[in-house]
Amino acid sequence: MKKYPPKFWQRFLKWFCDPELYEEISGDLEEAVEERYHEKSEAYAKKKYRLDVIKFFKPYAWKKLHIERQQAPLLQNYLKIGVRNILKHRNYSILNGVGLVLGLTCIFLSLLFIRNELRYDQFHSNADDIYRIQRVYRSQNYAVMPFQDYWSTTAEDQLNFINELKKSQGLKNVVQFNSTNSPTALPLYYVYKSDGKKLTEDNILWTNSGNEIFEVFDWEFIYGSAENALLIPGSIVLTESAAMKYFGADWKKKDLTNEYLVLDSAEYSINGVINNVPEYSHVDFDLIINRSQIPSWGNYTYVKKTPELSEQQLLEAVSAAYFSFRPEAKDNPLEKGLILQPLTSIHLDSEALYELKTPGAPRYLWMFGLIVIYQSLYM
Amino acid sequence: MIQLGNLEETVLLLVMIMDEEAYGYAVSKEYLRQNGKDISISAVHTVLSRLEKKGLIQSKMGGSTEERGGRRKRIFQTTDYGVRTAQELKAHRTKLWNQLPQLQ
Repeated sequence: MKKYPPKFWQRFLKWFCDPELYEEISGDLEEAVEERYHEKSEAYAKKKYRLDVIKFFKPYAWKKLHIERQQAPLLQNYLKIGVRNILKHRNYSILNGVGLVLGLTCIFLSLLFIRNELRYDQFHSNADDIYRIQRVYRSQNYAVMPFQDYWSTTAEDQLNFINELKKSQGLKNVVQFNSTNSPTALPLYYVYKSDGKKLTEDNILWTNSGNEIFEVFDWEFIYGSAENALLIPGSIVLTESAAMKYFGADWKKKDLTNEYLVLDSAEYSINGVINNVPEYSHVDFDLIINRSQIPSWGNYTYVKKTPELSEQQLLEAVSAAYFSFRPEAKDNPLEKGLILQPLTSIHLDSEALYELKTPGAPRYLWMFGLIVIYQSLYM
Repeated sequence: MIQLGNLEETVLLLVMIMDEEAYGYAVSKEYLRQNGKDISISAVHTVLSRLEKKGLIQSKMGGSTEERGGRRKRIFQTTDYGVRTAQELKAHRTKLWNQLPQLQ
């Protein structure tokens, strides 16, 4: 008949005892219990056992702390084994590795794409207060506001709508421009340098708003300043890449204010250089030219409102100005009114005709978003 | 020469006496038998472990029995060094004791 020693003390011993010594210690104690049970009594054996366990609770018998021997050699060993393992199943490892890389790349590129699409036109400091005025005629939404006599409008008359708008309260700035990238203007011009060289240019921004354009849009100046770069008609501001294209990589050393370019039979003097327009902008250009008569039948018109004005109020002000500028539009059933397109929504949310750049589509963002989620789950 | 405590010396001698049968519990029983005094098993284990660290005895595992729940015992034996040390100890003791004729 086997009498088991008191369970609690048995477990206690097992708990504190160093595994190396446990076998011999617990063995000895249980042998003692057996003998004592036979010699004296169960009670005596149990009592002795308890005492024995307590007496064994000394540092000699305790579980030893795991002192870290040097980690370096063991780590090297793990690495060695790991490498051997990989080499042992070479094909699988390569496949797996390539898969990982591809997966990561997909996630990375998708995220970059989504980020890029969402940050269009955000870099302008007042982006939330900037709107483009668009016109609805028949059932079509137009991004370009027409001049009163289209192609034959004089330089003064081209500014009529703008001047009308400026009479309203709450409109901090109104500017307009057109671009060679627009289907409403000519796409290409020959440019002649002062030394006679002939180049082509297809990335021009024409504006008759002068310096005010820099109050609405934040294009940073490297050379020259926003206050006077486009002060007078006939001045040009180049982007850095245009400066390099026309004047070489060392354009900084040359004094560009003395330089001029000839376009479309007119001479334009250079008055400033700005940073290249970032990719995440709905409008792109290499030169801004202040030209009193825009070579097109209309213009992209932008308004910057004061923060206090609501969108509704802005629309009312703009519409009022439009109808006083074009009284016949009021009775025309085909004229469906004006709309305000927020600057930041142009890239992803525009249904207008004559956009300057192909707009993006939110459904692509959802698609890539799903790819990212799916990929990261299956990596 | 190594200094051994009283208990250590006794246990060393017991291990030599018990010759292949020396393990924790057995040594404690033998101690009781020889000296008439109880000793706890834990004291014996501690001493044996100390002696082993000093290199006077060596151990190996072996011999599981039913009473022990199938667990093996750690059996101790003296090393050559242990034997020599015991002899030296005896020599020292005897030399001292011999200088006291009245305690012969």
